[in-house]
Amino acid sequence: MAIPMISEADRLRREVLAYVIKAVKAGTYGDIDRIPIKMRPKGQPFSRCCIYKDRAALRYRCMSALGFRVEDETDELKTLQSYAEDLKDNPPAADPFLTIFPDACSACMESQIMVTNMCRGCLARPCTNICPRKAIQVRNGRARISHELCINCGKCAEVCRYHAIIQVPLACADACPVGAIGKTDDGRVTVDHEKCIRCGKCIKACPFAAIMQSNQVAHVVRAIAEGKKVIALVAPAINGFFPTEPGKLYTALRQVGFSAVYEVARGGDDTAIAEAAEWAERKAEGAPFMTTSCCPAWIECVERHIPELKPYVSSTPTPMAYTDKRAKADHPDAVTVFIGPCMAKRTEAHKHGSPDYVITAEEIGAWLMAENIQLDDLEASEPELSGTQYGAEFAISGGVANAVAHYLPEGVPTPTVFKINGLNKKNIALLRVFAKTKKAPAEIIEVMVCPGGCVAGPCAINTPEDAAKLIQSRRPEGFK
Amino acid sequence: MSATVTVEICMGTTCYVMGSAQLAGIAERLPEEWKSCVTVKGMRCTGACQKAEQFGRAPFVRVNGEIIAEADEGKILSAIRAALEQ
Repeated sequence: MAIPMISEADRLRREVLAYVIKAVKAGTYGDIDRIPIKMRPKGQPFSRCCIYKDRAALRYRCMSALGFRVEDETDELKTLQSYAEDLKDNPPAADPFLTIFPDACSACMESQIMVTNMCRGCLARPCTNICPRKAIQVRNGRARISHELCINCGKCAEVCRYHAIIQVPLACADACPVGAIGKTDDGRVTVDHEKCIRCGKCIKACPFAAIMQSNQVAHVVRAIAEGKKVIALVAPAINGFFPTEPGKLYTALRQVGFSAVYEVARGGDDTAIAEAAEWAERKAEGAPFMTTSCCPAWIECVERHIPELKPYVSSTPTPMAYTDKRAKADHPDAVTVFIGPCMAKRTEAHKHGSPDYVITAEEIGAWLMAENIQLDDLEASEPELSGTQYGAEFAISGGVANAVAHYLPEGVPTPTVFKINGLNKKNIALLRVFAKTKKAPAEIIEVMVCPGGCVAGPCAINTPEDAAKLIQSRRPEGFK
Repeated sequence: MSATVTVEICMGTTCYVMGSAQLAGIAERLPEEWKSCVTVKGMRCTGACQKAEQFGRAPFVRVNGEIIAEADEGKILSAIRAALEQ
């Protein structure tokens, strides 16, 4: 089992968020300009080439934490304080929410197979034997790879007895399932937002944290400070992220100023019920298969890369949309805030104009940090709207299909299920084949872009395994 | 190897968000020969996170009572090894 790790980039991002939230809440905007210096004080160790570059990167991180995109900067001398003052009259940056600080990018070399100095030009030469493209030859006592022929399969690296051949990754591009990452002329990262499906995998993958997202938490903190009625729509995955019962987190949310808590698990139930009915209808009309619709990065993928699959994608609204609708019906004057592990949800909300804001598990975690709230010390409280365990398990791969099966109308046979547990280049090709041949290996195709489901979202704060276990530990008797 | 080592991982909000979530499962990943003499448990916030100048950065872990700041898997394993060798 891989050792779960939190990267220094994750920690920096969360610390910045906590400092920014604290300053916005207190209205002490001047403090925000001090954050880079506070986090990288004179004479202390630094992580990039010098302390000043660290501070510059932190400054842009503060800017994105405040809800702005680095690309929108027009004046390098504009203070963070004045960005914070702009919150009042400006909505957060719009889609795309991905934002890049190019000077942080290390301009890593292209992903490739490379022969290192450890090669001894041995007699056995398993590398030349295994290569399916005859791309390796030994010249002057060392294996050489012809990069015109090499297909990056990595077989030679596997068989070399000296570990002399290595696969050099390009972290961001390798993580991107749709080839949206490119390079500028000087080798730095660019993202093609037409291709990008907003999954956020590159943010997690970049070891230099050059790819960031513009946050919305500062706007939410401000809305609460202005006395607005703000409702938290809590995604099921969130209840796998904190080592406590959900009720204590709900109390904490009320303590930081949310006026009501709605479990998106209830929207999950709504989605499953509607999707089950939709499948029954489609099946009666002779549809060969249907894919789920709740993962917003999947919806972006279909629209941008596999439009021919669109007729097979369920048209049922997502759990977020259902829950938002319920909250707005109960409180027409309220501001609604989805809290989840996902970046693509921001794009979904942006497209539909609702909920008003989307914040992440990291943002809410940083918020609790900023206010030094200890969940264990709190009394649990009930949410205004709660869902069932079926809705709660939407956060875990397999959970959506299971809920749909549970809510099937009477007389409809349980559909067979094929799970895409983590979208990648290979299974995108497979999905394309399903559309082309109008055939799939099962009736319901459950697609989750993150491997493991939403619990593995790019803004998660627990390990996906532990989060899934925690959610599943709440199964009532008789759950199946 | 008769010594026993107690590892306490802070489950307070700051430590948890700053990385103790990823350390919580360390008991399962300990070397087999250590498992019988090492006890891993959670601990409540000690307040160290609010005094960065004194204690350093979260997450905090205690190994036989000794506080480790910016704890990670490597630091914890070294501390356990040192305690066992005492």
